Amino acid sequence: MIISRENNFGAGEIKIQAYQASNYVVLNTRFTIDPASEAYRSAEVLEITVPGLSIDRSAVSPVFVAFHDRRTSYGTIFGYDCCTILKSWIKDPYTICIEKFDKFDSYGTLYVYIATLYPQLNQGVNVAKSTKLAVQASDDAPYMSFESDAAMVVNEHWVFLKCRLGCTQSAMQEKMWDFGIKNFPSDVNIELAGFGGSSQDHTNKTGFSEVRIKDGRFISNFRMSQGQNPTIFAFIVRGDNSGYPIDIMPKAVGDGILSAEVDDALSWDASRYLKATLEVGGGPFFFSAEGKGGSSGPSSSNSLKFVYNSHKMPKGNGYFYGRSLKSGSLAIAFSYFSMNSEYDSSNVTNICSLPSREEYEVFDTCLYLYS
Amino acid sequence: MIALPSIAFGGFSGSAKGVTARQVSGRSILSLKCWPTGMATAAQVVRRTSMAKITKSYKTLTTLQQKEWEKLAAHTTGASVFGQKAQLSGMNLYVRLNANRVMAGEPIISDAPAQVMAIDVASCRDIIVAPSIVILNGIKHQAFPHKLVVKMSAPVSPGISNAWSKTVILSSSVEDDWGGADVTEFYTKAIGISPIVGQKVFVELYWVDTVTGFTGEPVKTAVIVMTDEEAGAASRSSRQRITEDTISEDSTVTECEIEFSTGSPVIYFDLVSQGETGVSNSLVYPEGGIPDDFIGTSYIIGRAKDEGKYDITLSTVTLAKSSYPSDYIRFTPGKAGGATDTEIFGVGVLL
Repeated sequence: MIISRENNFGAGEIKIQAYQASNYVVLNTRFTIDPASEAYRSAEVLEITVPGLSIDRSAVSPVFVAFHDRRTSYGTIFGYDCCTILKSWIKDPYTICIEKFDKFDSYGTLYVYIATLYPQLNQGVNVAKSTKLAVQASDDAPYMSFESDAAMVVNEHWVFLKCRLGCTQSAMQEKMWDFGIKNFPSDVNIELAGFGGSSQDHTNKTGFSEVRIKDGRFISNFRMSQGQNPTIFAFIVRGDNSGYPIDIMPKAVGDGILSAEVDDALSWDASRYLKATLEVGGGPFFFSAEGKGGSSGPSSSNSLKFVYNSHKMPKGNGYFYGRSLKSGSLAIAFSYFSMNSEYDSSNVTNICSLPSREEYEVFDTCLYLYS
Repeated sequence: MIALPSIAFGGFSGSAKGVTARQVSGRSILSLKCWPTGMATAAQVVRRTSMAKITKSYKTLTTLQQKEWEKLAAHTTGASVFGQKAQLSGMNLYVRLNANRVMAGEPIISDAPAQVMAIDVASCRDIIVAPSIVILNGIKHQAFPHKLVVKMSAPVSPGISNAWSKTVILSSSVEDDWGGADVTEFYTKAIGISPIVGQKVFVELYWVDTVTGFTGEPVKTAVIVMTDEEAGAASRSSRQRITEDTISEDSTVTECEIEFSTGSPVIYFDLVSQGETGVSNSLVYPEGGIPDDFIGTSYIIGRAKDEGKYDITLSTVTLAKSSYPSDYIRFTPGKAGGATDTEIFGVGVLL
């Protein structure tokens, strides 16, 4: 998850799910704008500053902006919400831009939805075809239907979905739609802009309905009163931000550092353990360790496990110096710590240069080396 | 003036018969007075005038400003000769950085930059040189305030292995279109003749930070001039796209940019769709046809462009082979609502 550093339109903190490849990024977020705010009024282009993206610029991609227009008639709420698309681009590795559009400002709070892929051009490699999957409702939602050329592409890191939600049962037309789509991954959580339809109350605008996906399950709770069927066109990130720039580490909430305690959960054999607190800071990934261990011996390793870690860590390793705690010994301990699987805190090993079973203490800071 | 470091004349100083010996920062320098051998080109006159102006302006700096330049110069070095790096003086650095700034179209700065800047080395995927085309492709982008300086030589015999001293600046502010830069016009203007097929052209590239004047290490290479046909094919294979210039007049779109070389599983679309009269489709007829790899279906959204209209449209994009009249890309619908023009922008997967 990318947490924005700031923005120039008074929106507060913006959390962005991201998949970041070497030459494109997929970003997902939803945030609101108060068009009455001075910051928004002053901005000529809306800019969101982020810690760092894997690409340094992008071509233009669409994002949605919507407003709510809810009216009550005879105790029933009717929705006349509308939306359009705005141009968005990545200006530099730290700035996401959205064109300023003031035509909806008079309707109050603006809702911005980003579910798009930001591309780069002239990359020397051409587009490759994707495999289209059919869009079919789960068996527990027989009332759902989709258009004949609805399309879905499921990628390891993101999903593309283009479909128009339809209902075949009149009794369900005005009710909440809660359904799955066959083969749609379950590691998706997002709020999407659904668009479609229009009304005489807002001519030349497209109707809007929000569609949520929670753990891969779709929920359409409140739709345009004209019964318009929302259409989804979105690039959706899978998982919890499965890729972010490894040279910019996100900071733990509150402390400003990541921290973890490592314990040999497999055995408390005094001859083979490491109990240390590991701390890392933002920016260049400095890795500090303070604690004690029992050497595994230079020819074997301890398998370790985080008992607490405030955030996921990428695959990599670090080297620490320490000293033997054996009585009368002045030996230096050279300790190697390795995170062997990306973000898997149960796959950690430690090797120490001291003889097996010799206790040592470590207190050092090194540069974490990504692998 | 040509300054040649000399290990043979250590300790000498003074001038005689056009030769001047002096010691500078521990190095023996032997200078030979030289005279111009021909008429100066307009570019040379501009450059020499600019250098003279910059040099004279150093004296107008305050003492504090000059000290700041000296301080910064202490952290820089000049060209290394015989294993000794030249130490730059504050004035050397002032002239050097301001010469780079002026070359890039920026005014002279009086205050020294806060620190020495490390500038990335220029990187470029292809350099295509032909009689009618001189282009660079796949330039690794450097954000503003960096500009690319391109130097090239006149065509020389392919047997020559080193002619980088013969390169001249084609442009000090090349702006790339997503890594592609057409410097044909610059080449013809600077060199005066077109490249000759089979001959060799030497190339030097480097980035200049236009704010500070610091430059990156120059990248030097050489290319053999190819025929225009070979260059066209190389250019097309390097970047696959359809632009306003490469579609037929029968197309019902304007401002067309469709790119296939995104390096990702998507096609990029950026165009204004006008729709055919009486129908809502829009058609693009690429003059070179559509490669087989790109035949298929995609989807893209757009919005009405007419004043006061904000409708969204979702188009099915068909990329098809055809002989009647030619390969085409069809957007269905091509228009949003009742709009005359629809802006279509963003990416679509290719299915």
